[in-house]
Amino acid sequence: MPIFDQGYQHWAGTLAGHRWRWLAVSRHGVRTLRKSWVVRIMLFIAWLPALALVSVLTLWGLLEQQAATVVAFLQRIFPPEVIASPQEYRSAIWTVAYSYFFKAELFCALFLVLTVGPSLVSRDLRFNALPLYLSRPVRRIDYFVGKLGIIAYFLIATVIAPAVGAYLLGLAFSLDLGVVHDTHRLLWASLGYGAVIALSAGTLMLALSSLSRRSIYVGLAWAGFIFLGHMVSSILIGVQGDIDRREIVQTGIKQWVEKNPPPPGVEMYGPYPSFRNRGGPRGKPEQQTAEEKARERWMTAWSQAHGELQTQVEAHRAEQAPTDWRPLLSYATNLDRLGDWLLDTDSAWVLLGKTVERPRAMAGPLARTPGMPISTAPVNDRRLADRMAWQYPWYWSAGVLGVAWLLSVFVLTRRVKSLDRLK
Amino acid sequence: MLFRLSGVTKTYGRITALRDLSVSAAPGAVGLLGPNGAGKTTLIRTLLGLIGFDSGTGEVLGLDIRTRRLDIRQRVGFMPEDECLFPGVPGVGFVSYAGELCGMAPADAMQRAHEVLNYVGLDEARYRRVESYSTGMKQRLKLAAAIVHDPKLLILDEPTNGMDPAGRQEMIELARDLSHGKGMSLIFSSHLLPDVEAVCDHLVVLGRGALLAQGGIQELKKAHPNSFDVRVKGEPEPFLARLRAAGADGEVRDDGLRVRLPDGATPDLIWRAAAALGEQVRHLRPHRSSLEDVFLEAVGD
Repeated sequence: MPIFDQGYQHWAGTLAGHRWRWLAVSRHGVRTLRKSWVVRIMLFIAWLPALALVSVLTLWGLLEQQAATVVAFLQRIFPPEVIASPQEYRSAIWTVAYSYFFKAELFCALFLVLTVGPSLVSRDLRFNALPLYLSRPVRRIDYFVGKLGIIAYFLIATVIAPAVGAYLLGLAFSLDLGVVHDTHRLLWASLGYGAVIALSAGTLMLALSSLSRRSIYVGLAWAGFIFLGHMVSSILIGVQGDIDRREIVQTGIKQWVEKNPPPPGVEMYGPYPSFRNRGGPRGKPEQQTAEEKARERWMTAWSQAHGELQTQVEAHRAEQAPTDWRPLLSYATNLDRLGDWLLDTDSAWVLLGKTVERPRAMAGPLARTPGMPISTAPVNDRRLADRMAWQYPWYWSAGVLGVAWLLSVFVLTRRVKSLDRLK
Repeated sequence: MLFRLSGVTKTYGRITALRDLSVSAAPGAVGLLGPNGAGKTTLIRTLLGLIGFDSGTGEVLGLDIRTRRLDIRQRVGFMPEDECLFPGVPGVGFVSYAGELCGMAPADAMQRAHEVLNYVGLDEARYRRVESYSTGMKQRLKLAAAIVHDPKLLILDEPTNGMDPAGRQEMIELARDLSHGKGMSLIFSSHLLPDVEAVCDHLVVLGRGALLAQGGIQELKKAHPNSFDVRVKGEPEPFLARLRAAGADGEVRDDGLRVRLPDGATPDLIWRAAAALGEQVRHLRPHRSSLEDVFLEAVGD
């Protein structure tokens, strides 16, 4: 018998209304998960890309102020016109930096969801907790939103909060209010993209979590869905790229070799010459024999033809990319595509591409290396953008994610039943 | 009025769980009795607004069941029959979470959780994870979670299920204290008639979804003025024959005789018959219906 036993006492406090009831579910889940050291480690890792983003934005701010050390460092990386007027490329650099940040964070976020999500519904089903929730003033929608809020909390902490924090630091180091005008779109895009990731990945994970009472199976299903899907998509994209390259390059170079047979002394592997037996260090042209000169000319012509075919491959890929469905098989790529669209990464790469492509076209002859052909590829301002950003329509990915979300909601409502259907 | 249902019908496909049920109860401790499938759980879920019903009207604590479901659940504490837990938390976290789900502020819920865990006798186990609790501890934990927000009405669905005799007695004492000592209204659903009798003042007996009997337990356990339970030292049959000769009637039961006196007769008739037969009367008391009698009579035994 305790010394001080006050027995049952009535409670005279005030109960909150029903509107924010989901918050209690979220708060409890966050409180419980934050005690896990695995989650803490994942949170720490997920903040590392944010440090890189902050570094880039800070460096750019210092470059805009023409800080000598930074200029000396960055002029090795960027063309002179960029170093001379960094303000003009501010928006593009910030966009590209944010794009890479989100690509890294997307990877971290999917792992983080794998860490925090599998047990959210499955353990409630396993321990039959639903009657405890639903017999209190908690609706099923409160339960769903509350559980989604747990995932959203961790994703906001790792995706949105660092993005906003980095933006504010970037502003602080730029010392120029014009930055807000140039880059405020990134802030809204970051918020929007973070919300899309949280809503889509969160709902999908909850649906998977409702399919089993064992969270280990849920984790395996999530890993399979995300990583196997991405692997299959990458393999299909790679195989198609290889097929295109073989069709264009091998067929083309074979035809070229048939039209231009190699001179004696050139060892061939199919349509490809061997570069091994070129006779050691080449002497000056006046010291070369006629046969060596002929071989040299032929090799140069072959390399040029090969380079042109590679350019054709690149053009073919750029032509096919807007209708390529293979990236849609990867859940992560679909999110990435929406991120590209929200951040307008394509325009940023086009602007940066111009700074690379125009000087290349003008300075190409000057940059010629002995024995290598001069690139005759036409100026293509989109070359960088075609390589670095997804080109298929963003609404395809939005459609895939939308269907996945609707399916997730359907599964969730079927698996998490009201008490009217429990028995 | 604690609750009132009027003409409520609830069907699950072809099965009718509640059949034009009209029942009401005043504040106090109400026992809910009925055989399996009688509709007890459906009635409880209807009162909590957890399920819709096909026809009829109803209110709990003056709140319409159809339109004020969340308000009803906020004012009612419910301890479900099934084993159910919020996983991965200690006992005190379990109860405070239950309070937060009812709308309590986190600090209030935590303070109150400690209080009610003390009250139900789980003070020393409050920091243990709930998965490690025994069956009896889980039942008491669910009770603590049901009363954490100090409800006006507490609904206990089979609260003594799976408990050992000592734990069962503690649970009954807690339920009785809450209903009779703390002024909390109670709906106590159980198969165990002694438990209901120990806790409740009123009784609602259901069968096949319909109301079979209702009223105060003392009223239902009515006294029968002309009927007596009698035990004698010798064989009961000769004594019963002697009573019949004197105008009474009765039957031999396991533990003696049940004697019905003719109108206008007094127990003196029994004494005189015993004296005439030289029989020794060991037990004589007026017959009262037990709760079991009431229940069996209601469900039509």
